Amino acid sequence: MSTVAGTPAIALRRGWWSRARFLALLWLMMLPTLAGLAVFTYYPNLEAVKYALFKWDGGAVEEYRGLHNFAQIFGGGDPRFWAAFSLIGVLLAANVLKMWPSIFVAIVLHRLKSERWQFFYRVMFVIPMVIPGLVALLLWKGFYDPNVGLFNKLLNWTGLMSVLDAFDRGMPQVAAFIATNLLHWNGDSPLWSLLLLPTQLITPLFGGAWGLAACAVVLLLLRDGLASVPQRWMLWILVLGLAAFAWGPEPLVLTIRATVLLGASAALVEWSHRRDPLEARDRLARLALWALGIGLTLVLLTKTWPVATGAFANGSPSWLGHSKLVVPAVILWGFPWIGTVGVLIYLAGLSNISKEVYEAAELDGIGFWGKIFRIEIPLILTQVRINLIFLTISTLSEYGFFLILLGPDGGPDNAGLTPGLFMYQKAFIENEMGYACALGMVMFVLLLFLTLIYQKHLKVEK
Amino acid sequence: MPPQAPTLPRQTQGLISAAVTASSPRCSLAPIRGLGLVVILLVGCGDGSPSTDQRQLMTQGQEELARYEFTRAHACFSQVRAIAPAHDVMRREASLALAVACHHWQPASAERIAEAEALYRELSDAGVGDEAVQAQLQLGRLAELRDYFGDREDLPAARARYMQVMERWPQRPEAGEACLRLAAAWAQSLQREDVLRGVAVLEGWLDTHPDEAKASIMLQYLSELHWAFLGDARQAVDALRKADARGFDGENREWMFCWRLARLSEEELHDRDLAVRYYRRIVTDYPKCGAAWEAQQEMKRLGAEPPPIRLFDPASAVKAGGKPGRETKP
Amino acid sequence: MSGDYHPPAGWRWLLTWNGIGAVVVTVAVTISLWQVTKVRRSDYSDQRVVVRMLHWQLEAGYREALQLVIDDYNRMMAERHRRGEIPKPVVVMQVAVSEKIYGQVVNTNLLAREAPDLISMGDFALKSCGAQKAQHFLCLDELVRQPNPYNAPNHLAGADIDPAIAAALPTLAWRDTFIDGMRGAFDDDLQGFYAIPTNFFIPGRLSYNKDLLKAATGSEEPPRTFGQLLDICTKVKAYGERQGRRIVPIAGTRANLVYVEYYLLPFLASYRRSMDLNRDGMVSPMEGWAALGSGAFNFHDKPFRELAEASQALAEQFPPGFLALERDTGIYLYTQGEAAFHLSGSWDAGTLYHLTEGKFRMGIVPFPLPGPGERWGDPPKIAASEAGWVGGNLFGVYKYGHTAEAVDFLRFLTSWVQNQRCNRACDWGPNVIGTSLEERMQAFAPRLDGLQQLSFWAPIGPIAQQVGSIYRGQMQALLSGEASIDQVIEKVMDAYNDDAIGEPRIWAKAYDDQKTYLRTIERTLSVQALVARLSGADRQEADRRYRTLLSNQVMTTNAENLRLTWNQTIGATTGRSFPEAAR
Repeated sequence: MSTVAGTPAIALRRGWWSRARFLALLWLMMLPTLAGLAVFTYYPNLEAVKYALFKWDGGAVEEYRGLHNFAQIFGGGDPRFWAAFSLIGVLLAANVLKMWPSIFVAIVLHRLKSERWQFFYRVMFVIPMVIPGLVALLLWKGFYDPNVGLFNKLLNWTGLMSVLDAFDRGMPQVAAFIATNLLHWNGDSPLWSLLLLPTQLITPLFGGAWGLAACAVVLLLLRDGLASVPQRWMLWILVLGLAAFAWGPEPLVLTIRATVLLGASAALVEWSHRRDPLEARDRLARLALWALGIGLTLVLLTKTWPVATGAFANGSPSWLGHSKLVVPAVILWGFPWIGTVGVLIYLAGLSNISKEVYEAAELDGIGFWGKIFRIEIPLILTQVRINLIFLTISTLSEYGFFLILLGPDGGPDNAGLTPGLFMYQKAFIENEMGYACALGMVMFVLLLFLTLIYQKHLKVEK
Repeated sequence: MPPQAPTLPRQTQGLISAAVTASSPRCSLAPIRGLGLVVILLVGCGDGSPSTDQRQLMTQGQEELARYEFTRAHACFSQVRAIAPAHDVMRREASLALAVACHHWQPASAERIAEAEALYRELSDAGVGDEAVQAQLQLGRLAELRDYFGDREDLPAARARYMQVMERWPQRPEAGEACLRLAAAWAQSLQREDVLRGVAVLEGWLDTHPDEAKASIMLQYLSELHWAFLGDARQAVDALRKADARGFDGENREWMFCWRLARLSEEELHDRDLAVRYYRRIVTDYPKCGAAWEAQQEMKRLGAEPPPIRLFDPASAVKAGGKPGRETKP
Repeated sequence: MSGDYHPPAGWRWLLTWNGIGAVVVTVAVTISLWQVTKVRRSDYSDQRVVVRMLHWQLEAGYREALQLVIDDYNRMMAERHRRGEIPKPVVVMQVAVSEKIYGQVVNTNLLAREAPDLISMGDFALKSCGAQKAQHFLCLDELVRQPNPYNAPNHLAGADIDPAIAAALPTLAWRDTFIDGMRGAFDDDLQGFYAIPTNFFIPGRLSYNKDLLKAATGSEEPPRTFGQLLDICTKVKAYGERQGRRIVPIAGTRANLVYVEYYLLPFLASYRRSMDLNRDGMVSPMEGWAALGSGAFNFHDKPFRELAEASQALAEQFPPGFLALERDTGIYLYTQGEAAFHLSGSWDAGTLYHLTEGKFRMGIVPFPLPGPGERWGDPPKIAASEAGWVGGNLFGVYKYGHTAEAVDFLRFLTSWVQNQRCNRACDWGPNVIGTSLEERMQAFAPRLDGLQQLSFWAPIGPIAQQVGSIYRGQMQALLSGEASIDQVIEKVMDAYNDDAIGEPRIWAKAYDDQKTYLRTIERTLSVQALVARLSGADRQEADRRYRTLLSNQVMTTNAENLRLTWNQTIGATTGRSFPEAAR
């Protein structure tokens, strides 16, 4: 037998001295790389951990402070740092959506029958990789130039600029309407009372769209039924927590609402399971997702475009020079969002799906879209997870991009201030390098936490 | 079809096979042994052991100290202390240097500060040589300053130490510094009585030590205490004028003292002539300070004709015999 | 399925992919090693002394200009070696690296103790603090007090120099031969000179397109006042519309925001006396914060509102969306004749002249301020004096290299003849007394008239922290037309009044920083004094430095001067107690 094809088995069957020599040789060969990694990657990071406990200005001032820096971060000393995560949340959500074009392209490539054409397209996707990131950055900066940039010219030529202008005038009104009439109790509009009846249920019962979203989360968690008493208690505590977040500190109202919510959810779950146990799970999940979707959509509509920018009226909006347009510009960056590395990774994952699975699916009558959502995407979740981890890391730690585009303060009204840029400010403008290291540690732990969640919940169900 | 066992690419198989072949007894391991030997030598190699010669150690320690390499300096001076006889000058020097290395070790810690304090006490209690004075002064500094995060300042202890330096070694240059430090240690409380004590300390010292080398600094600080702390412009102006007579002490800051003199003279003492005089000094003696033009405007406002600003006056350089670094004073 | 793999034996193995790869790697490594040893043999040869000069000035002109001086020096040294005056020839070579990696290159070399002999004092952390600067760089105190031998009469022969200056130069201290007396090279922390300036930079000039001005306004006279500038801009815009061309009055970009701050001092000058609490002629950042906290300064008052209005008026002349534009875009717009004005400093002048040659005639004037009778002209606005501008492009001497040769070259570079020659060749400002700029660069001669440059408005500096960041963000919103002055003031004051990031944090941090800074000074004092004592170095010099450091330290009263300032200003008017830093 041999564990590795082609390896002389005789070497591995000898005693420990031969094995030790064999392994020592391999270690020696890896030594330069390991040494380089240790010196140039791990050592600086360990130094960062060390200096997170110091007041350090990068020079002569080096004072051990223990956990003081962390106490300041978590003790409300830097609210702007935490506020910057809202931008990260938006970018992360956008980046998750921006993953899908690569997935679809990979699926299309995978489905190509001709290997020659597959190879051709793969090469076509790889070629843009030779363009350095900075060049791509500068190209896109050129696209976004308000006066001569390609982007504004395209929008004007296609007439989309006037559409955007119409949105700019209309969306704030929609947002105001939703905020006033749908998300808050408005007893002064009897004419709308009938129409608003369903929505008037949202606020008193759920405290707003966030409450509706919280309810949806509870339903998702309950979809497998209430199994045991400890689980019920855990859910009760969870609901109270969500309710506190959604409704604010009103203990009595909170308790009543939480009781109603839990009771209603429990009743709904029990009834659903008794009616049709087999379908209950999917039904509850669909219901929860609908509730979540409605709640989040309502909130997004009020928060995304609450104020008219007036930037589109003259046909040359400054995408990187206007505080309200910076974030959309960053989200739009890289359109059509088909990354070479992503496509190749997904393609590698798709190539592992055997043909028999497809044949079985066709026998079951699963169509084009069914194959995508029931076979291909579930089976490449490992690759999706890997990409999501890289995406989260780069989104959370990114600051160079914003520094080059917007400057160290994040541009007008500090619209582009990310946690990474905040860390940069602390380090290089305020000369608080030790504190910046502590911020970096916090972001590292956050990333680790997110990575663990992905590892746990994003996996292929074999 | 059963799942296939994973196979390595052919290239990797070849590499492993080559590695295994190389590790077999038939293949000479000499090159690899050599590599390992090199690695061991590199890893095991370190600095050569320090010399046992005291003077060499002191020199080495002093060089390390000049580079702010406190760890190495500590090692050198510790060795000297271990070798040198008990009452030797070199041992005292090494003790002081070791104390300084501990005192300013980075990052500072309570342990290192305690070690420094013990060494300073040892020298101070012995009371012999320059080192004793320095040690006593440094004990005061240890008490007065915040040396590490969480350290508490002990102003009464600091003041006591400075007093001891002034009383035990009144003729030493360190005594003047101790007097200055004492005054600052009093003023730190910001209480009027304490500031007055600080003023009294400085004035008393200057009266009894007319040749004090640090007199200009003392007078400049007296001016600061009188004006900023006590609001007494007249005393502040008097002190600064005395400092001016001796020559201000502070590179690139002389014009600031002149500016203060001018403004206080004009605004608080209503002495126009004195104000004009000091504004003129700024224009003529410190034309590159950036405030010369403003000084000219102030002079005009006070009804005086200002001199022109000359960034370089060849006549004054030739008159001074081309001696470097001298600025003419009125 | 493949069977066992047996690599070919002997030389045939080289023909396999592994073999080819191994050959390529071996050849590449060999070539690299050879290159490295070749450079090291050249740089560290026993046959000659190689002085390496590291800097990051990659822009066109400077390297060539510096090379002119280097070539002269190398020739001179070769001749001296030939005559037997020096044992080995000295060769200077410049090494230019990109600014982006300059810090890393210097830090790495300093830590490895293999740094170049001359290092431009740029943005690298190791040099930024006193103690570490003393660790790696030579103290030049003694040297700068001696005359520069390259200002001797034989070196000045044939130069077009004022006779009085020519007579004085040979005996003047090296330090006194500089326009600023080497003020900019003086290290306050170490109380000594650790670098030599080789030129000066003057910011704050307005380049203008004479031909475009003539076409748009009928006159090529540049604006002398702010009102005239705005008037010309209006005419330029109208001209562009008539011509159907895109013409912007001022080619402003995000990089020009700093020039808007140029107007801070003229507009806020009325506060300078009242803010100068200790009457030392300077308004420190904490004095500025004290004024804001006690109400002595108020954003809503006329001076700041006028500043904001004038800044807005200026920004309106910039291209739409200018915040998204980079410096290069501004240069492009101007040099292509699509803008009438360009804001910049002396470092860009050479480039602008070069790029506009043959296209249009260019002139340079100082930034105009509101004149009498104009809007914002009362009270009269006075610009900052440039007499205090200090020399730039400083070079430090690495302590453990060829120090004597490096110092000698620095003397050569900063001699009257070479200083003027080098800087004129690249359109930079020479900084030795009596030197002059090229005719077309005369506008960059330092202007003596003006107010003292104060470290004035706190929201700009690092002490401002998050309030400063918000201020800068809001000013950008104001200048881009997104925010009104009231909105800006409201947001800045909200930040200032926030307990977490505002006034308490600023003062607590300043107090804490001052304490740590004093501790650093203490370290420098102790170590330098002890080393001087042990080594028997020049006591007079050591004592002088010690006294000055001592004076600087004592005057702060162990950082309690901050508490005193608070008590006398904010504490007195509001009753708030001094925010204690973390202990």
